Amino acid sequence: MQMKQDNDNTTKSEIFRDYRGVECPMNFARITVDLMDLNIGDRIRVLLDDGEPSVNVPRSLEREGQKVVHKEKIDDHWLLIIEKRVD
Amino acid sequence: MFTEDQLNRYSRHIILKGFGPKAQKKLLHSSVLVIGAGGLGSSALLYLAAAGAGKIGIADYDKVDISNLQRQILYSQKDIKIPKTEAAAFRLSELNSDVHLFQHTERLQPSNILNIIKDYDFIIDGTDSQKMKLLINDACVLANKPLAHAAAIEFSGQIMTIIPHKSSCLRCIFSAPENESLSCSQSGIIGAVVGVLGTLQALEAIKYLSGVGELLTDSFLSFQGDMARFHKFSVQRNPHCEICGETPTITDLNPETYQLCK
Repeated sequence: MQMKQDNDNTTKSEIFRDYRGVECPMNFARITVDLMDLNIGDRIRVLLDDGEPSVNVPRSLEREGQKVVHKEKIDDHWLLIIEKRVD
Repeated sequence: MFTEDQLNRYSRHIILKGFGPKAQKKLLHSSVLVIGAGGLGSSALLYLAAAGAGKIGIADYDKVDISNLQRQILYSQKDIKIPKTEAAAFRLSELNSDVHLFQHTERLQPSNILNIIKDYDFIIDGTDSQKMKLLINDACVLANKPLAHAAAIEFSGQIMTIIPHKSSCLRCIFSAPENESLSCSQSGIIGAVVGVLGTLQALEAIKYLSGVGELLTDSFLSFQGDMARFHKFSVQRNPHCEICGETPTITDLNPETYQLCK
């Protein structure tokens, strides 16, 4: 887990998960469980497969009230940076 | 944290908006007692075990009979003449080995019911006798245990959840029966009707134990299966209720009050 200093001077943590090869909706379930242990403002960097996961997971997270702050295609997969906004 | 199996097994709860991993955790650490492993109890027990209620008690003194199989979907033909608690525990352990199962084979009566319900967070009444239902109601009020009441006969049924001293109980609404009314053994029942009611009881337990949703308290939900109708109507606590009123006259479980049929 990495630690970083935010603008408001509170220490936020960031974790990394590689969920390539994990199908929907288990990738979303795993991220949901990961988020449970984080504090508001903490982030997850997650790798997802191209196709359904890259569409479904961000949509489901936004519906839950979480924030996808970055989404980028890298080769044949996607990098998402998710910020926890709600418990 | 969840095990790999739990993450997969409960994934549809975990991804459910408004439920999620926290509610699932609560459910896994909760306990529920189902009194009566018949038609109501069958569907209630199956859904509770599938949902991952951590500890489930099964209370029944009867054995499986072929006439039960029309509606008591926990059992199979191979279970005939086997104690219901034993057959139910076997079936539920096959469904979900996460669940800790406890069998109560003694007949529940005024002398032992408080000792049995004390170890559970939530009680489901799956019995089919009015006097037994009053005994369970009274025991739950005295022991301050939340209860999902339900009854079903012929094509119809009803359900209400009781949070003692906070919402209306059975005695707030019904007076003690002079004569035992019909039960499934004397009258008919559509199996699917009792399954609907048992499923609703499981849902009430899941909501209470996980802290999610709104309970069916201070209201009765009645179901007319033949007309495909649900009707919900409000009820209120009775300040003169014999057990949960301002000056209760029932303060213990006197066996004469509950002369149960043998």
